[in-house]
Amino acid sequence: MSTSAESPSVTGPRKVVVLFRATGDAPIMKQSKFKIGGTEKFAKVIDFLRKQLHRETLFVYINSAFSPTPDENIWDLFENFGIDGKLIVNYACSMAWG
Amino acid sequence: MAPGAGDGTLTAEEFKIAALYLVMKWKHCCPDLPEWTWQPIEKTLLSTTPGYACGYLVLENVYVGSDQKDDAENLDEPDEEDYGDAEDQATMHGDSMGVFNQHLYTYHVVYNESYRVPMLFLQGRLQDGRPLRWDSVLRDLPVGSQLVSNQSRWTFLTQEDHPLIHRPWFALHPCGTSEIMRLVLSDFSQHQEKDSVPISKVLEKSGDMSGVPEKKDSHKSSPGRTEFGAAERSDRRINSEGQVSSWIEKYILTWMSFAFPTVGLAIPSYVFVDSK
Repeated sequence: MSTSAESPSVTGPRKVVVLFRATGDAPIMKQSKFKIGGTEKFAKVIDFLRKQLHRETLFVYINSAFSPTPDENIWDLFENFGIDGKLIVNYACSMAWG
Repeated sequence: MAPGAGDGTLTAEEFKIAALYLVMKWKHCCPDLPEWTWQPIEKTLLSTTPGYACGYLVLENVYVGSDQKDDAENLDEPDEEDYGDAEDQATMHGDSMGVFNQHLYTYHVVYNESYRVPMLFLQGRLQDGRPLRWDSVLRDLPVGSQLVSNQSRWTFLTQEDHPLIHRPWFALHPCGTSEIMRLVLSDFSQHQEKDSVPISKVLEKSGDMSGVPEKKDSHKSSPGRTEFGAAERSDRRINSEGQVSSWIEKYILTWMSFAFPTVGLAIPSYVFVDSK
């Protein structure tokens, strides 16, 4: 992970590289890597994807293991589930329950 | 076709494995939260039949904050007025209403033999033990789920006979479960593969989400597009310490992270951290 963009301040916002992966029949994004402030909530990632893909109902999960709650902190997720310096976020469409 | 990660379903035996794993993991990771317990089913002719699970999961007495003006206060009033009072519940959060009722919920995870997936049953009660009615339960749901419930009245949350205790409970319809789980588990074994795309120079754009350009298309090997054969099912490994943690064990935990938020129950992410 590139550290050049990180704030020199210890308390400053650290950035996390998020890699989006389409699963199922979800449309693939032209650009799949993004940086997001570590202090942001996971809700920000979900909103971002919704806007990018123009879908209201999205199905977002991490490492084939779980779907984080929207108020989960990005940096915490990255620290616990990041792989090779990235937080890999899978997304799928039209998976609303029922 | 054999059930499994390939089609997102579980056998009754696998359900038990996953349930016991959940109980153990939950106890270990969330000692301060209400405990999930495995409740064996009394032996009947049916429960000893292959294909039927020999128990189910129970989580009791979870307080769900509700600022609904409750049935308890409106005993003598007709339902319609009660409903009117709480119609705009979402915007009432944080208001100093002076009334903050708590509803007690019990959750059961029961194996559904027809769909071969876990199924969530729930029951809400008032403090005095009376069960909550449909409209109260509906108003305890997150706003998004209330919308889904309106749109998909019969395939989302319904009131139905609890298959084991034979009383009306609310149930999350299992029809979407295997599809979701098939998708999520389809790339279960691919996490050890290094992502072949190097992160090239990072271009900071304005805004909180900034793009990281890359030279080649990273989606050539997009996961989720390959189906696993039945032979590969049982020995998938996920974590780098070489510890075998099969998808079966984690099935219910994973499923919960998708299913439970729809009824307003969050599963803390640290439950998903692999412990040594």
